[in-house]
Amino acid sequence: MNADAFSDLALALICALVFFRRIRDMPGLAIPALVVGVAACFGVLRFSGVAVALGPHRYASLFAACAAFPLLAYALRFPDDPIARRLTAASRFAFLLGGAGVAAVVLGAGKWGDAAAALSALVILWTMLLARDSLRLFGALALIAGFVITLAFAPDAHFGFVTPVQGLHYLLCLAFAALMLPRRPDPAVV
Amino acid sequence: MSPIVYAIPIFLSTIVIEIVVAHFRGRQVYDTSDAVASLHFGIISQVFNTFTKLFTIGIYIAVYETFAALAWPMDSVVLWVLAVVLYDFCYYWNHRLNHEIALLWGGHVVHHSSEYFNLSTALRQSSTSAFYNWMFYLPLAVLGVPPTMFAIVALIDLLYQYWVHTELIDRMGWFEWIFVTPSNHRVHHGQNDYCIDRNYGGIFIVWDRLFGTFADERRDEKVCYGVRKPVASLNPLWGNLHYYVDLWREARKARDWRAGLRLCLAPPGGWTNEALPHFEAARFARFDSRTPLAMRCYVSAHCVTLILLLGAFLAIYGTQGAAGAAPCGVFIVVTAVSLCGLLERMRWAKWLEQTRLAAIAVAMMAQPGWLIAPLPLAARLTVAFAALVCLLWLATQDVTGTVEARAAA
Repeated sequence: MNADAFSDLALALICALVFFRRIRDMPGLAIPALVVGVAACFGVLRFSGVAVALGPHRYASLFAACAAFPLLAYALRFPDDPIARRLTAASRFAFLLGGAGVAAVVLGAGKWGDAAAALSALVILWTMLLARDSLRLFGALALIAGFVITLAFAPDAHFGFVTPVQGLHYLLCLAFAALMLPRRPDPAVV
Repeated sequence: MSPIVYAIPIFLSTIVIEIVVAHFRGRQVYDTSDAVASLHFGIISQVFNTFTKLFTIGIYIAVYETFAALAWPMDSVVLWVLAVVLYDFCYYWNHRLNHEIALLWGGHVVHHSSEYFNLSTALRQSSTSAFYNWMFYLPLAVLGVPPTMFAIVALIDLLYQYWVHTELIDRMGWFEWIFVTPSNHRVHHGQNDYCIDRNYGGIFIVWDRLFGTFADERRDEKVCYGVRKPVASLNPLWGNLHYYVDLWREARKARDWRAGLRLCLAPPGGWTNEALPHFEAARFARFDSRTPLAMRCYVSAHCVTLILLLGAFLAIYGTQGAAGAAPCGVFIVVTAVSLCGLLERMRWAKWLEQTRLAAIAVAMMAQPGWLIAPLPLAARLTVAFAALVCLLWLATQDVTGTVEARAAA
């Protein structure tokens, strides 16, 4: 297993942890973890040399960018909303948003996925600033940092011993752990 | 050319066979107005679906070319069977969510709006569901099912579902355990309490047995077909749009955008843990447009010409593309709306139909090639004469009274 695969494995494990911890009380957080976790699992296979996992990994990553991050932002911003609290509502929201996002990207709006993820990260940051929740604020900043290094640097760049892709995976691990694992009251912001 | 063109004669001949068999068995499974309206729904859905192919096949091809994991060979029987099974699995979820999400139900309600259950009901298809149904099949593209295989398998799945829309075939023994049959599909179209949100499978009923949505047909309770909130109209445009209009009105009444969003994602009855109101089968009365016999004959005859025109439209689309076929498509939709309006005895429909007939007569003489290929002079004269005869006949007809008839019903 190489370093890329290991970083995806770490992300997949964090996502699994979040999923099983939050599926009952906050499906709006568990579903994004599931979607990103599936993408990470394909990533582990892809970076371990399983060639057929390339397409599914790219598809699942795109789906996650279009669906998981907007749902995560929605659930953190409106934690008492049925879309955050009901499993069926959260999964429908993710499914429809993800499908529409994938279609938009393959039909030419190539930056749709990046834009959806970036906008979601900004919404999360704004929510945590209003809520003055320092742990989750740290999570939001890690999320934004992950997106920034992916967009700003070439995939083959190196920062010490991590590449931008590995950096994204580890920062997502930190972000998810900070944003989604704690079972404290969610920051309802009016 | 669309394969549906080749299926049209089979559809029509089997409908005739079903009518004859039902007649000899003393069963009333058809209502002319309802059946003709179903055909019009089917015709305009074909027109719309032709223009929305970008959504149904285009996105699939794009996803396949970008993300496919494998390249499935087309010559493996095993893979074809696997593709059918996988497609039907996706169809199950597509169909289920079409029933369970209000936004999607707005399209699928068209198929359930008939209060009869016969082969014409199978042709009563939505014109709007093409905008979202493609989403459910994208995993097949990622798995690597080639677009050609996908299109053929989709057609197989669609055509299989045609024959299960009949009341004339009873239970089918062991077949019921694995496959969708007329018996278990009757339950799907029912509005009795035990029928709601059941039996979503396309070819295989095993998905319903697996995911807990199966219900067997009951001998002791007659199935009443249709939906709990009947559209009470035969208009194919209104039939396609009425639920969206209701949804839009509800969303506008919502206190904020999140409430509107929740409304769209909710089941058609809203987010509630309460059971549906009990359905009283004894009090159920089908919608009756009370269309006079002469008008039924008139509309049925024109429906046949419309079906021929649909064939011409699909042929034009194949050779000239969307722009070339657009005038013909618009004419078909206007004709369908006009004819169904006559079935409902709407005042506006009489004027629309007379305008349409006058336009046909004028266009046949002034613009020989306005609709399809230029016709010989004798044919043009015949069509123009027939249009004028219809126009004069229509002028003698009283088409008012629908509102009163509805109120009485």
